[in-house]
Amino acid sequence: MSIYLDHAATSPPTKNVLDYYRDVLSQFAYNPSSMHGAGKKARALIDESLDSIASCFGATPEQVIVTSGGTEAINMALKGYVTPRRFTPHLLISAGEHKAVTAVANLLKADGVKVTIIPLDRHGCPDISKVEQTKGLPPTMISVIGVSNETGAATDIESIVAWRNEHVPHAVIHVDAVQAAGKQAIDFSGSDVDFLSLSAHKWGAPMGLGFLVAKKHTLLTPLISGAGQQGGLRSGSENAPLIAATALALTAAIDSLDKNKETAGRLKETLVDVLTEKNVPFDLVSPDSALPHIVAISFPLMGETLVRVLSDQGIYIGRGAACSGGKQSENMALSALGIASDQSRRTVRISFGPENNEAEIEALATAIEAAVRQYGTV
Amino acid sequence: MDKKQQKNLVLVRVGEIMLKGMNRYKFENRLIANMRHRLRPFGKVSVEKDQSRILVGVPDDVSVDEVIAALKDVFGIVSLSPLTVIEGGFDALKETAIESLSTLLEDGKPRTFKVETKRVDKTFPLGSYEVSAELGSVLVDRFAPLLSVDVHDPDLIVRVEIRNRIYFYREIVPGPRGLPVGMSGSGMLLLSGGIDSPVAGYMMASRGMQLESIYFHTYPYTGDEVLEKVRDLGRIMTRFSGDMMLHIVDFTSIQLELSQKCPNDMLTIVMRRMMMRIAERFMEGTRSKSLITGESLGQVASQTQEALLATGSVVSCPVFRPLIGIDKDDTVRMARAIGTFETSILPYADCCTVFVSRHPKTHPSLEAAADAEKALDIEALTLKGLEHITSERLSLRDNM
Repeated sequence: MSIYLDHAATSPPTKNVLDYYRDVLSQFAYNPSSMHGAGKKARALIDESLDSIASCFGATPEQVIVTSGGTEAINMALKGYVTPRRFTPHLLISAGEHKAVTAVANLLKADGVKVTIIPLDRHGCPDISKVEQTKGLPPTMISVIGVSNETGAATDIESIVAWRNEHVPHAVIHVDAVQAAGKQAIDFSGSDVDFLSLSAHKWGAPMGLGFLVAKKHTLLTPLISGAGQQGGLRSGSENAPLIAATALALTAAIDSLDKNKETAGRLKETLVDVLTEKNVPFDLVSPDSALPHIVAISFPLMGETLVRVLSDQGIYIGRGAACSGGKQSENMALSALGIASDQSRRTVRISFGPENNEAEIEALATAIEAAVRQYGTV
Repeated sequence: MDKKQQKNLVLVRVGEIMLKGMNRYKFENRLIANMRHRLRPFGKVSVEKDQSRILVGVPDDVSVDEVIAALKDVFGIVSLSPLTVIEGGFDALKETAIESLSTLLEDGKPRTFKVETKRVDKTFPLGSYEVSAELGSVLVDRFAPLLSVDVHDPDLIVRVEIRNRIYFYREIVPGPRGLPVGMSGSGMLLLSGGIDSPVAGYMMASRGMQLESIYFHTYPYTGDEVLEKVRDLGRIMTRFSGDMMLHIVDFTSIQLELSQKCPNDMLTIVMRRMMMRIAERFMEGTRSKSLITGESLGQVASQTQEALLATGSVVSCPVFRPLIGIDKDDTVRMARAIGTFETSILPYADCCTVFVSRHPKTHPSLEAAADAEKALDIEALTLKGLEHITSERLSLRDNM
């Protein structure tokens, strides 16, 4: 039996979601744009599912654009909003963004967009008060990560909104909520956030779906053109069964938000307790204020070594951002927390899902103890 | 006759091997065997001696360009020419020449040319000058004004060889030169996942050395993706080295002991000394008689004169370091040319990057090296290494 503790990379669908997905796949695999009854059935399923998805985030279904994943949603928000502005565009991003944001920002920068980095505070969260607003170009968009994929640090979105309202009321706010969705209550309509990027497989949906939730979608330029689905904003036939399965997984996550958070908190505590009990040297890299389901933690051995040793025993944890494709690069989110590159190479990411339990965490701690003893001199 | 049915031939010229006097036949036979091996994936391609040269017969369903590209990997070949054999006399030669130049001149660009004739068969009725003049005038008549004669600095040369048959060709493609692999015995390459060692192997193979390689694996510090990368590099190398044994040493427990018992600033040196010892001892059971490394003077701390002395002094066999005076940019250029670069730069740490001294000694004395090892049982560690070697054969076929 394997122990899966890498839910920040992806959270595999539960049996319930898979059964439902199989079921709707067999009944609704039709093109929702078709005029006939089968197509209409698929369209109705999508409408119903998007209603439920939108309501989970306090949004209206008209605000939800279906994409292929979080990366596409982020690309659509940044490229679709920032480039077509009339005046020299100016993008503010934090130092702790995921590659999906930094890579797009670099691309825009090469196209003449001014990009300013918001420094992180000692809790690993964007500190917008450090941005000088007295001179220069007003920002077009402020893009921040909602919950850090590296440390679980949760950005105080209200402080970003307040700063924007006070200093640059014309700038829009985009939140990369890929790690926040399904872990944290999000009220889109009740906040002054303009764009929200979401990735469905992080909350236990099958892979292949994401959403851009947008208040100002009329100002977006589509990335993908075609037959004009989704009001021309994102062409391509919509996947009714996948959207339906995603809605089910999301509802389950939102229904047990508090319970899951409590479970994650308990598991994190157990991990710390057992490691301390076993006298395993470790440093908690995640700040105290972080969401409990992501634990960045360092041991006296290389992160990649620990990942391999545990993997050989069927225990799966993450090493930094799993999306970075094995490249070794300086870790901004960690260095902002005062973590030197040496320690950041010794940092792993353990991320809990709703079905993890204490026994698994004890097995994890035991395996870590053995790995540190056997390989931990380097 | 087989060759007569095959209209497409490649003429292969051999250079250096002709200088080897009585050994010439050995060299030629080895080269022909290597060529046959390299061309095996193409199926029915023939390789035959033709006086002082080698003729490759290419069936119609095989691309001559691909055969030439493959032969560019075979050391000992000086140059190559796609060749047409003229069936029939001078008239047939004229036809072939006209056909060949029509294709070339299709782009409408004017060119200068000359004809060069070599007459080996002295019974042929026309002399070489006459053949050149006659063929030249036929071509000018046919293609003027696109084609005009310039005997000093022509854009293209039409070549005719009159032997027992008449050969016609235009291009001379440079080969890799060097000596046929296998003529200089066998050597053991210390292969890592980096850029340098495959190039070092290439350079020694170009001097006729058959290669074996040895790789020190430190799982779980380095992942199995690095081992896979080393295998991939080895497979690419088989294109010019022929099939190659890869010996994989499970080095983890030795490495761990070194990092526990040796001063950190000497760790890299001691690690390399252990690798050299294990490689040399392992070589006793193989045909290899020398070690090959990718070291280049001053490139990193372990590649200073003193460090090289310290690592080289633990073995008594020759240690070849063909990159010792080569600039990194040139090494990279060679790695690109032989096709290993893209694989070498895949971003996986190998043990050289994981187990590094934080502040390595750049000028270690032999005494300092010996001193750094005083807590180790060198013989036991060497034997431990030898007990943890698995060998596998990398083959050209796996490239296909």
